[in-house]
Amino acid sequence: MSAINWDLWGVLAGGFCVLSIYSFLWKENRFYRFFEHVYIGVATGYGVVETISNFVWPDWLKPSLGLDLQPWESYQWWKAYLFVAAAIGLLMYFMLSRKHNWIARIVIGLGLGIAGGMAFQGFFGGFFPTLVDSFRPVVAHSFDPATGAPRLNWWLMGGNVLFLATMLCVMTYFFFSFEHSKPGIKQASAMGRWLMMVTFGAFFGSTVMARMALLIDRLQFMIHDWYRAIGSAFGG
Amino acid sequence: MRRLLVMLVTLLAGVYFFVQFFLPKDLYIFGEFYQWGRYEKEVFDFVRVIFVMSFGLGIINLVRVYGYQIVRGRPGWVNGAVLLLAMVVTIVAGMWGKFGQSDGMASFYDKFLFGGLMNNLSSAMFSLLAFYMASAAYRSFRVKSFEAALMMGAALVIMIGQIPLGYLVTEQAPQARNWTMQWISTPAFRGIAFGAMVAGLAMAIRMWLSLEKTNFGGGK
Repeated sequence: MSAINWDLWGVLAGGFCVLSIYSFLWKENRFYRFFEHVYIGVATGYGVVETISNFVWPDWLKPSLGLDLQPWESYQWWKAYLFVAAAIGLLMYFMLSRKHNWIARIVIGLGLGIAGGMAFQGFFGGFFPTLVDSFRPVVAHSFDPATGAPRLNWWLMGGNVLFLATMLCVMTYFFFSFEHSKPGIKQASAMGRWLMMVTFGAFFGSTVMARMALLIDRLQFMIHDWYRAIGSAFGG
Repeated sequence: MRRLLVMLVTLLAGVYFFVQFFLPKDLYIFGEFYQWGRYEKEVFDFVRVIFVMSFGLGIINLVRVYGYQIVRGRPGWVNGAVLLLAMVVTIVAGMWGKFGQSDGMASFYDKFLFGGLMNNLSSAMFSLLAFYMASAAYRSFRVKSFEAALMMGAALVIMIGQIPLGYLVTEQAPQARNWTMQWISTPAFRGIAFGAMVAGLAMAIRMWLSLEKTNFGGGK
């Protein structure tokens, strides 16, 4: 089996995969459907293999069964506690039973509880640093590189004012505790909507460029790798 | 009673992670130091093992759905068979290659199944969106209002500023892109995110305290 050049066959098969997926641009067809299902199958299998080889075996089964022990170490029975977790996880399979599917809700509840508890960590760990960083000084100094004397940095001040104004206008747009028809609020809200449109445009542009990068990568693969692989497989 | 049990498990499951964040690392109680979070790795492994078991459930569901299709000979059964075959071949080859010390099988898994099929299929699948975005852009970027004009203008600035050709259009293109991202896009996104984060926390608390009844079988 090792005599087979899987690099070459991988490139050849990859080219057919790309062509089949792009054939969807013409219309939905059986080649696209076929390779779409191949993708789901391979991706599922890959997820299983990587989970087992990167977590289940090294972090669960090896320590729990004492297979990672050095000659001078003795087995500690408490390390088998992960089998209790596995037994709890198995309760999820009651989802397949019509009569006892409520048992699976215990594990789902466990997941929701953990997610709820961790949300505090995520909120306070992510929210407050961002909040503190967002309220930037409207009077900012920089130091003269020659003399070291402080001076007002007008560019940074302008940027910070713009930053604050943009953020407050957008927040005003989503703030419904007072009527948006009041003077000042109405204008800030309208400005917030416009600034969000600029942001959505920027996000759209970034996403298009990311997808284009993938497309260019595929085209390069087809033109360089696949073309050469066909040459070496069928034409020499 | 069943619902109460589920609610109790949900509440207790969140307590550890809630308390872990608010308590200091070294806790001094009755003359003794307790290190809360000392067994953090063990707790996380415990949780991971619980949810790793769901992989089997996913596979069972796939086999049930496509197996039924194959046995009944329903339209598209060939695709279902291909999906299951691809999954089984990948699992067998991957396990054999990684645990069976077989270089040939490891090469088949890494270079053909992963590098050849999965890598190319996923890249092609996601790059397909570039075409759909182009058609969506045609619809959404027609300048029918001031807002649409702003959106189109911002998207153009970002796209032109990101490509090497943009530098030929104007030397300021990359700076204009960076300026838009830094001083307009970032604060506006943060304005949206702050609201979303508060709402997310409120939702998480509701789930943790089992105030969201739909997760526990509705009113049953």
